[in-house]
Amino acid sequence: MRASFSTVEKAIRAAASNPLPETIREDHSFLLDLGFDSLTITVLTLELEGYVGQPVLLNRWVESASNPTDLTVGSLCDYLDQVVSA
Amino acid sequence: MSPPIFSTHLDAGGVLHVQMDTPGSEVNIFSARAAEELIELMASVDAQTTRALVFKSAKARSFINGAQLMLASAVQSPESIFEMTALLRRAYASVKRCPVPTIALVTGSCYGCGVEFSLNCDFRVATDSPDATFYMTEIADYLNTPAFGSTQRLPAMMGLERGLGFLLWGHRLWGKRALDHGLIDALLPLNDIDASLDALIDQIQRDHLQPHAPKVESADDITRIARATRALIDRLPDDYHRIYTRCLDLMVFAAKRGAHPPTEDDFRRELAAAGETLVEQQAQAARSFLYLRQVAERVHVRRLPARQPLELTLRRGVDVHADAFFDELEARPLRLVHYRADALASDAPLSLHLTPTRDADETEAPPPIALAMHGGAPPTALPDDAVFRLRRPLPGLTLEACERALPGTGTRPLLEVRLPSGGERAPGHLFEWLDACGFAVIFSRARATFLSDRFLLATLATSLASLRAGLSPGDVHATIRHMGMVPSPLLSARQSFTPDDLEGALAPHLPDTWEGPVGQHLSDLLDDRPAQAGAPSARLDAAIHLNLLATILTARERGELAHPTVSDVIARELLGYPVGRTSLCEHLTPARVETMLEQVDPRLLPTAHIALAQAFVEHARAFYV
Repeated sequence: MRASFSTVEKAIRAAASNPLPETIREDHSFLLDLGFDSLTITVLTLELEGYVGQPVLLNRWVESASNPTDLTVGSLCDYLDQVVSA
Repeated sequence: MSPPIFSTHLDAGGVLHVQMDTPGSEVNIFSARAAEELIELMASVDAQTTRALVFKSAKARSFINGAQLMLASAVQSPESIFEMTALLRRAYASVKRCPVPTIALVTGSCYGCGVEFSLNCDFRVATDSPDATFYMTEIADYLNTPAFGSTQRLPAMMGLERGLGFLLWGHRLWGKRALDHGLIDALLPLNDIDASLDALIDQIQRDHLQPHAPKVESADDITRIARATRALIDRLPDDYHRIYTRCLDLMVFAAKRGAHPPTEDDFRRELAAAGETLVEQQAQAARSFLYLRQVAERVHVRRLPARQPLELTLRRGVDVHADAFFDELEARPLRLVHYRADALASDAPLSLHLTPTRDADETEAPPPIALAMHGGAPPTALPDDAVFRLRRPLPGLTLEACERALPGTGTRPLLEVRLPSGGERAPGHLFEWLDACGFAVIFSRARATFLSDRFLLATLATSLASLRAGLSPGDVHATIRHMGMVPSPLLSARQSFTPDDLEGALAPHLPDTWEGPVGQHLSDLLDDRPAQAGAPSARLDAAIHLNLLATILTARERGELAHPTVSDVIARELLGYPVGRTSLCEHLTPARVETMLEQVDPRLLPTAHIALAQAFVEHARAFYV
């Protein structure tokens, strides 16, 4: 399991305001499965900063999706992996 | 499985109360799921047993705060907006077609698509409080034209001029002004909503309250208003003109329609414009700014607490700025907040106190807070103590003035809360209260001087230095306009300060080579006679940006600024930094700063600030990734 997933999972659990599945998977949609909205995404942003080492703008990740339901845990991990390696 | 968003209750009088409560969210968002539920709900309304339908919110702070913002980001091509919005439009139409009178009971914030939802109701009523503020976010915050009917409905409801104020210039409306402007049909007192609502429904049933008659304006009046509006649009950044003009054209078209209701073609034309503007770069940049703003708010207060009964007490006559602050807020009644002047003992540490009342929940009551108000000229030596210090960097900018600004870009008066020394956390209830009052609130751990003052002074100082270097006041104003700063910080400063107010505070921000007083140059800059037209200066543009960069870097280094997003909010609300150009910190990339260093005239800013910028470039690390 990639390192970013573990970090993302912890951040999701810290940021979520709706009940979460017991096990979070990479194919879980933030909107449909995890109940996130734009406000909770901003809280997620702050939770993830420790991992990235500086403020990360998740709106760029959001805008990359052609459909909001495509915003999955896995796509966020991909985004973070890309940002960290840049 | 998430609980339903809507719940219903048919009372003994046959009124169906439909309550919205978006699960797990501080505000109500009109999502796709909400649309699906509403369509099903409206299909089940029985005109035989239901005499009226009231939409209300379970959330104290929010009626509806818009559609899912991520929906806007998902519009990848102009044409896709038709499909992306189809479900919401069907939901709104189901309300419009309801066989019984529909009433939007607004007791919390009603923004953007929330306003457009309410326009589909037969009646809109609101509590007489800024808690129930109506605000169209589309143009002011997001730089896209609306998608759900407001350009076609508002001119007939409010008249063209007032409709433009509300939609184009981002005027926030609440209370009597919302009523007088034709946006709502009745005001309900804060302390007796249910009884007042019952009486209102009776009036509707007896035809004693009718929806507003459409406003029909003469062709001459429409032409006059359109011309005046175009003149205001000319004062905006050039790249804003197209979208503002597009919105104006849609509303002028609607106004010319007179009493005839909008057609499907009219709504389709509006939707097409929304699709085109949503995919433009400046709209994407503006949506990006919304995230930054929300991050800035959550840096110190992760989740907003429910409001508890609070009392703001004042010992009048001790501090003229505290008196003025108190009086301004007392005129804007909020749910659960009381105001008492002359209620403090003469030995109270400060003249303003915010305290939970006896009605507050014991387990959730926030601690009392003593507040020091800093108005007037920028303070130059803040004490390092355990006091919450409030600063309005533009003391002359009232809440009401912002709600009427022309041209307006939806900015609110900035209020900086300097947290006490000792690491005390930001009180959520303080933020919630001040935000509800109408301020854009930021927290800082500023030391000797307020952060917000430094931003304004850095901008002014650089502008002053450019006058001494040979630019004219017209050139300076042209540069500020070219940078997109609306409202102009120079004009805002003019309304708040005299040159004497600023003389001492400006010194640390002036270039090392500056000698002598600033008086005459400052008078020239703040002169209220229109400056002769000038030309924007790339060197001044670079110098202002570099001076602001140094301000941010120094504050971060000292631990006074918790997050760069806070400085983005300061830039937007205080300096009018344009949301359509990305935020200030997004703009200040190492590559751009390097270019600015090549362009800048070093006579315009302190040497130390140039050195900071050079170090920023060498470090090669942007504020955000």
